[in-house]
Amino acid sequence: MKLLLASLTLAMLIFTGCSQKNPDVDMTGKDGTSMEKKKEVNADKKADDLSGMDANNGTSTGMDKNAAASAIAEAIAALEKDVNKIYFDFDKYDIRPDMEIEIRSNARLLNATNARDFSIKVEGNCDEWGTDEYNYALGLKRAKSVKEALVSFGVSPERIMIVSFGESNPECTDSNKACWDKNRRAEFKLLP
Amino acid sequence: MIKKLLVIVVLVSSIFAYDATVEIVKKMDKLPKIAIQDGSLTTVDSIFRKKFFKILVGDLRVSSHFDVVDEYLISTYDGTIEENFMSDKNLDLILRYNIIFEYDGTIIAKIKLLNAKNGQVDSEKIYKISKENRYPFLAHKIVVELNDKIGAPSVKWMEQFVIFAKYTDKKKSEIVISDYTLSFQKTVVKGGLNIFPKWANKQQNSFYYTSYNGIKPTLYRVDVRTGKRKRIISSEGMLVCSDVSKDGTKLLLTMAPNDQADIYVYDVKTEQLEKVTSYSGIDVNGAFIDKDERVVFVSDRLGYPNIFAQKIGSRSVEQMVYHGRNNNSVSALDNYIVYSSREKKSEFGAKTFNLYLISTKTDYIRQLTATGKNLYPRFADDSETIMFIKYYNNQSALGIIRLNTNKSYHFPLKVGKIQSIDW
Repeated sequence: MKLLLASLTLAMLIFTGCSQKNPDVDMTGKDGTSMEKKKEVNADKKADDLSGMDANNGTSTGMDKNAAASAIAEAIAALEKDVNKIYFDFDKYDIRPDMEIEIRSNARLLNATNARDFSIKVEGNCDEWGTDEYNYALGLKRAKSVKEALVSFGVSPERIMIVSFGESNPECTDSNKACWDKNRRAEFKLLP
Repeated sequence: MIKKLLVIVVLVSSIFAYDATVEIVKKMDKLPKIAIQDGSLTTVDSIFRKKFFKILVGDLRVSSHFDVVDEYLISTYDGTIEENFMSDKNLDLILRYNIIFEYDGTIIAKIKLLNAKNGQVDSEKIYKISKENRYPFLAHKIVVELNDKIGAPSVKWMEQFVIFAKYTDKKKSEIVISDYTLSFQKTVVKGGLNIFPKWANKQQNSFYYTSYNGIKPTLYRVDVRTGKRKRIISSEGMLVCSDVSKDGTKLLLTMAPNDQADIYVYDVKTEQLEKVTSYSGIDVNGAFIDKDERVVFVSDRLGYPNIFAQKIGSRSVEQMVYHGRNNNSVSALDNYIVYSSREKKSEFGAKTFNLYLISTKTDYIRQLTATGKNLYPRFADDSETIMFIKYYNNQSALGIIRLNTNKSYHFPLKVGKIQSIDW
């Protein structure tokens, strides 16, 4: 399985030109995998139209264009399905006692032979309460708490990156307590 | 004795007059009563004429400097005796407009101001704008100048562009430039997650925003005329441009290069970063105060979100607010700070967010809102007007508070949910 995964990874790297491998790509001054496309329209504040730039997610990285990539995507999807989401109390970012067992289970899964070659992105999310700027910081602290817990259970910190989505990624859009409980969470994405 | 008393009274009143947080309801003995007449030719699109009327009425009302007659009145542009007096309404002023569409798309508004007491024309002026969808700015300009003409405090902020991000779906948002009433809207960034737009300068000819469409959150600067954008900086975890210094040369960023959100000053010219706060919890939402030498920000260093201040380059932190248990958003202008505070259940309903105003020089606190979720306050340039986001009934709106007259107004967004604003 490991050999297969290594071969698939190598094949995908050849096909996709390694574009996603380097997490520092944005620091080089390029846009990296940013899929934003510029559209320039002459404009004048006082009289003419305002312009901007439309960023369209139209550029595929080729993940679904070849079999190797699709096999990796399938492997990732299967793993992501089994990873537990971690939920938080209102305005808190410490790991609840009932969530420790879920993180321990995730750590076991993410360190298994079919997963240990993947990088892990922990995404922190919030409910709709509060200002979004604070919520982005709160979501980040949640992701950081989960990262630290994963590390304490043996996952290599080098494999883990964290990001916050504030309240932009709700699991549930109703306006009630049960729904808000679902939205205060950390999710896991695997990257080849 | 009387002289001494007078000195004390003057001294006390001058101390209070210096503090904008004190409730001063503008002392105009009587607001001028004004009616608006549509004097356009009947061949001009009647829907447009009414839309224009509505913006004019709204602007005059929001200025808080006029007693406005709401009725849509039609007249001739030259005016008859009845139209020039409208004696039954006991008016002081009549604002009459005549809309003309030019072949090249320009809209002309001929404006006549009449003294309704004597039926005489006080002044006449022609305004024009080159694009039809910009007509709200035409109306705003007319009201700003009319306001100046009667000697009332300036409402020039009505001409400012507002920039906001709105969520359209999961992990999807757009950045929109609008007027303060949302009657004019132009989407300038779309596709993916693009948030926290912030004007880059007073001229409002470029703005910053954070894109979440790459591997790391990345701050860009966009020129609104050309649409060209420039990458400024990227960070792990999160990245927000929370404030821009008055001269546009320094940015306050919240970023987390080592997974830890802290506030940094970024020098636009030298591209150097200076870390301002250093705390293992949450530090976010920095805003320049006191001639850009200090930063006010939100931190959970006491176990809940509250407002603190710190001199740039110093490590000593001062607690600014001693009220509320969840103060999660702040904005500042000179010595004034406005913040949003989460309240417990009250007679107004369950768990609201209200806005409060304080001065960095005094311990006076003034409540600005009473109901609903009122968040993300932002001062206008004149410190008498605050814009904020109001959420109610699953809808979001731009709110405007006129401090000197204790009035607030809401302009709902029909599609999407407002994420953040700047103006």
